[in-house]
Amino acid sequence: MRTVERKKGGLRTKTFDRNLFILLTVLPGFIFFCLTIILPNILSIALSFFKWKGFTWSFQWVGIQNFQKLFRDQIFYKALYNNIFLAVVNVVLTLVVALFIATILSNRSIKHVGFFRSIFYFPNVMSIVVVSMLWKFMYDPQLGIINAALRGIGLEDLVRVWLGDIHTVKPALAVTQLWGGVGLYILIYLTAIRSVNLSLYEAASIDGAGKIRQFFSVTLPIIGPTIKTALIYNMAHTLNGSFAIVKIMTNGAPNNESTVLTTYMYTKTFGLGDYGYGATIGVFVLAIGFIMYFLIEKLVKSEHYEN
Amino acid sequence: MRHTGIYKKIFSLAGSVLIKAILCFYALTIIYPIFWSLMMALKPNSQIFSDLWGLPHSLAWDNFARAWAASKIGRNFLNTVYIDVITNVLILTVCIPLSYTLGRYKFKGRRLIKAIIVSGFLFPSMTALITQYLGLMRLGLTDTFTGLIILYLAVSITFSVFMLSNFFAGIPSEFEEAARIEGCGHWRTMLSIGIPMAAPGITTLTVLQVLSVWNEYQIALTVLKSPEKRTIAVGVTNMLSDIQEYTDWGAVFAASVILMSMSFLIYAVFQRQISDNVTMGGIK
Repeated sequence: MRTVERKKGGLRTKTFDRNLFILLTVLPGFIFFCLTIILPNILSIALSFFKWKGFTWSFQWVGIQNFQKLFRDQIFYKALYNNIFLAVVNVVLTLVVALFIATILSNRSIKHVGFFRSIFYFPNVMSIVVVSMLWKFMYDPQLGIINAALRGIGLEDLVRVWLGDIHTVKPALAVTQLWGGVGLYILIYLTAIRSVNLSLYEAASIDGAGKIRQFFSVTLPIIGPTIKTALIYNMAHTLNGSFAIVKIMTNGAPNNESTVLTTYMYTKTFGLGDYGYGATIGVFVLAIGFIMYFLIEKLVKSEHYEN
Repeated sequence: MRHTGIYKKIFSLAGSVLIKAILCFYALTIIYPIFWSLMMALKPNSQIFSDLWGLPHSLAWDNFARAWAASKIGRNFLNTVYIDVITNVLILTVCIPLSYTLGRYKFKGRRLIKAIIVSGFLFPSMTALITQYLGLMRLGLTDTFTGLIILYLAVSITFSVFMLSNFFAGIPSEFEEAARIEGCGHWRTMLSIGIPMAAPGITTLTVLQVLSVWNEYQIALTVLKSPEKRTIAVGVTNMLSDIQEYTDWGAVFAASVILMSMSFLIYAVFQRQISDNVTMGGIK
């Protein structure tokens, strides 16, 4: 009798214990996440319909006025263009460079692969602040080694004020971004390429496919899903990452030629205290992220099916 | 016949030389700038402008002393260590149980909760930062370490839970099942068997998060305003923006070397965890 009773009670406590355990382990973290990430995102979208200058806690409903103002704002268009330029250039260059380096690094005749991997990944470990400062120093007209090197090899004509020239400032920032971020993708693609079954290459080589052909018809289709995920991750990273690089290296100069949406938003919000307008720009940053996400999702998927 | 064989050999030899040359050149574009900034940090200010390429005539260690004391980089360094330690303790306290349950237990709403947390990858941190900052203002936590730590914990959850819950889901659960049959409770099982088995994943996560807090710029710049409260990343950039006034380039280079050295140290010690597992956490 007693054992049966205990068993019954035990069973009831078992499900209760399990549910309590799930509740107590999941809820605190999940609620914290909703309050500190999901809610602020929703509130930022809501805030874009208000005027609020940050002095008192009274918000003034202005409807779509912030958006109307945004669409008349010349700097916004510049920032939008710069943002898209940097994001697209960075995503494409990263893909090409990372795939290229990873492919030749996966060559079996290469020794010291570990050494190269460590070196190539190192910029990713450094603070974006260090990367930005390092390149700011190198681009510096007087102190920088880039101009000095150009003078040294007799290419005096190419000497520029790299970060002060409207034609070179964006490419200069893109190079910095690439240098600082590409290592991660080299590692990711290298791992993916290494996981491709070697017999597939042997089969392709028997069929008479050269190295380049093998890359396009064996490697690329197989690591396709990895590339897609990497592209999305890189894109999201670029939208956020460009803030520090731009803020530290140029702060938007010259004449907003390097302003991106996040730095513009930062200036408007935390510099000038126009929180409502800042949130409006923020909604756009959010929108770009989603648009690019779905674009990559679509593009890469269709390509994958063709193969 | 023989000739084509020789040509093929020469061709593949040239190819492999070319490949090695490309790899070495690329490695050089990474190593040289770092080496150069290290040399600049060790040159006296008088030599910095006159001699860009040369090695330091005399080692100017006082560049580091000036950066450390006069520019408050030392203070900022200690602030960052404090913030980094507390943040990571909190990340582990919050994310380990959450990831364990999401990775190990099947229950109603599990997929939804995981989807919501992972959706954090899609939100640019800048958009939320406005209202996060307003929230901190409401709580009186702007310009405090507590406020910064709360936001650091918030932005780290998506990556941490994504990585750890996959890690938990990927390791065999026989030991835990056996322990539960033996009469071990859920908490005991998690603490004494589940978590120790996930130690490699937890170590990797911690290394990556320690680095990312150390390197973080945007949130620290927004939340902390007083010079003596700044993190080192923000402190170093502030020296750069003040450079027009005091032109102490030696100290600026020294400060950026101090900032870099910590990342280097962590990377050197935990290189295996970082580069072997970064692909697992980031993309799978």
